[in-house]
Amino acid sequence: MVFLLLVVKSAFRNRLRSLLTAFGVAIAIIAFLFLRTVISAWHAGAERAAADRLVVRNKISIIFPLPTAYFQKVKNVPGVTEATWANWFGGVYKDPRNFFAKFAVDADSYQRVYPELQLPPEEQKAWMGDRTGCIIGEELAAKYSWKVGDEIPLAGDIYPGDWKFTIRGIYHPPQGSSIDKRTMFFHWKYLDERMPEGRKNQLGVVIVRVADVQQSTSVASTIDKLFDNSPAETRTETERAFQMSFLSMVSAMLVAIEAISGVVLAILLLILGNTMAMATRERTTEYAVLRAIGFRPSHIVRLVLGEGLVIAGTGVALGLGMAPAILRIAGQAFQRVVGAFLGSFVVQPGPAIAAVAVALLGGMLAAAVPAWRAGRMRLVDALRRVE
Amino acid sequence: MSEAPGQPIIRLRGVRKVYHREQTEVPVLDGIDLEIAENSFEALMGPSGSGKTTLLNLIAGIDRPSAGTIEVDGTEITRLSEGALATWRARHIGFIFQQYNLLPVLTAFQNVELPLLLTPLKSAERRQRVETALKIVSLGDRMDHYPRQLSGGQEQRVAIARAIVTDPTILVADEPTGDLDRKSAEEVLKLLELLQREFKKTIVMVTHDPQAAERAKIIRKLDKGSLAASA
Repeated sequence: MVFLLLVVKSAFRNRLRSLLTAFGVAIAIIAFLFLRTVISAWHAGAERAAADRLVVRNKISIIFPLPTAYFQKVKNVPGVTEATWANWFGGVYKDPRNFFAKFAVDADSYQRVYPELQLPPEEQKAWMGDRTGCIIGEELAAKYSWKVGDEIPLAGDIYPGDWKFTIRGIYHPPQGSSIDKRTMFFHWKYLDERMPEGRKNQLGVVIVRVADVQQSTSVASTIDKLFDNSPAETRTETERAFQMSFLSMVSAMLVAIEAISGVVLAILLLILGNTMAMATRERTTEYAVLRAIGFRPSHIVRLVLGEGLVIAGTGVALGLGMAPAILRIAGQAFQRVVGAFLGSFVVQPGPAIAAVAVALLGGMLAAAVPAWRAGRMRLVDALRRVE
Repeated sequence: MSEAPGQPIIRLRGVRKVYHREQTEVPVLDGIDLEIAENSFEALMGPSGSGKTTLLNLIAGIDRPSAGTIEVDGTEITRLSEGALATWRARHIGFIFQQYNLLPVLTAFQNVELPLLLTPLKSAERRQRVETALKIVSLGDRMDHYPRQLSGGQEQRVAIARAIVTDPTILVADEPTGDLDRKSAEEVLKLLELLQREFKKTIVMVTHDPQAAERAKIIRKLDKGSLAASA
């Protein structure tokens, strides 16, 4: 008990330095969690993707459309149970910074392919009965304080012109669903009818559900073979692969974020190492006295390692205590800049456990060299410093 | 009244100590032969650099001789490993330093308890021993005080309590009164006399102070690494 007390009291001998170090560790943990949360938020959509859904797109690029005629052909492929389509609308709500995803969909078939996109019956009925009606996710509604009946004016870019939509429903997808809570869906027919002749009858992507997940690859292959050597060849992939292809566009940034999160941990180790090195150097006298009265080198090593652990542990407690609030604020700011591509910005257990483990192990690792040196010092030399 | 000397408890035979400073050998002790009797109070005196602290360190097992043997209480400590030597020190040696060297983050009680952490004693037994040691040094009422709340003399008395709490055979004191005023020094020296007389401790004390040395039963003088004379 006294030894433990000695460890704790020694760790905070220089209270200001130890607290600053603990705060340094806390900030490093928060920075690490923030960066890991950005990465996991980015991957969230892909991770929630359903295994039984395939996405058919233009082989050249997602920005090139598919003819509407493809839909029925795709739907008729053996193994396909349901099919729908969606067009990425783009568009700006007042300011380009007010980004959220907007899709033109065939409501009826889309809700069969995405059964988690459910509305209360009266809202469903209202949406189906309003050509310019749209539905929005609960988080999008909360963000702009929108309610059913409000109008959303959009300035078109991919599909030029001024657009007005009336909110007919607010959906609440179940936990873990691939349906994003900050998306707007409206009727594809409304989009198509306003297009000039040359841009009518175009689909962004066709999405299908397959009867047997094990057959997804062969179904995808069959679909793509249907359109070989056609003006619009297709590429069919799982919903997850499709989502990941978006991630590949920002893969360099994600790799950079991963690298920075590693650097943050390295900084954490250096902060702790620096403090422990200073602390052990200052206390050479005490270690020498402890050795003189019979403490073994292993006791000194444990004492120093324990101090590192206590300081790191304090930093961990501070970091984890402050992280949820800080990440919530930082996440909101980050999402304002980056947009709604990101998933929910909450601390995930995995990165939190990793941060705790790294900080605590790091605390001991950072103390390891000073501990080793303190344990190995020649007693008579250390005592000579006393005199 | 002088007491009859006991059996030798410390024996040094042909002890040499050489320090290496880069390429140069610096001889500190040169062929020391010495016997210190059990329950004696001896002072080592000599000018700075004469090797008295080195000799004390060798007797206490915190340094090793370059040549020769050192036997303390029947154990040839020059043959012990570092770990065994640490255990031996904990059991046989009590240290008293010039600058007290108490841990500032621990109370007087906790400082005195430190050496007992290396023993299998239970908490209640440790408490009893610590209280006894602090009462011997007349600091039973300062147990919960931190070193910064004590005077220099009181700090040194806590250090003496720490040195005796494990009931070691030998006390080694390196300039125990060097940092104290005359009154406090007198109290510490009286305490050392008490420990030798009543508790049968063998005390080896390094000092520059002739008045302190006079309290010892034997005064040995070192000069340039050799024992010059004893009085």
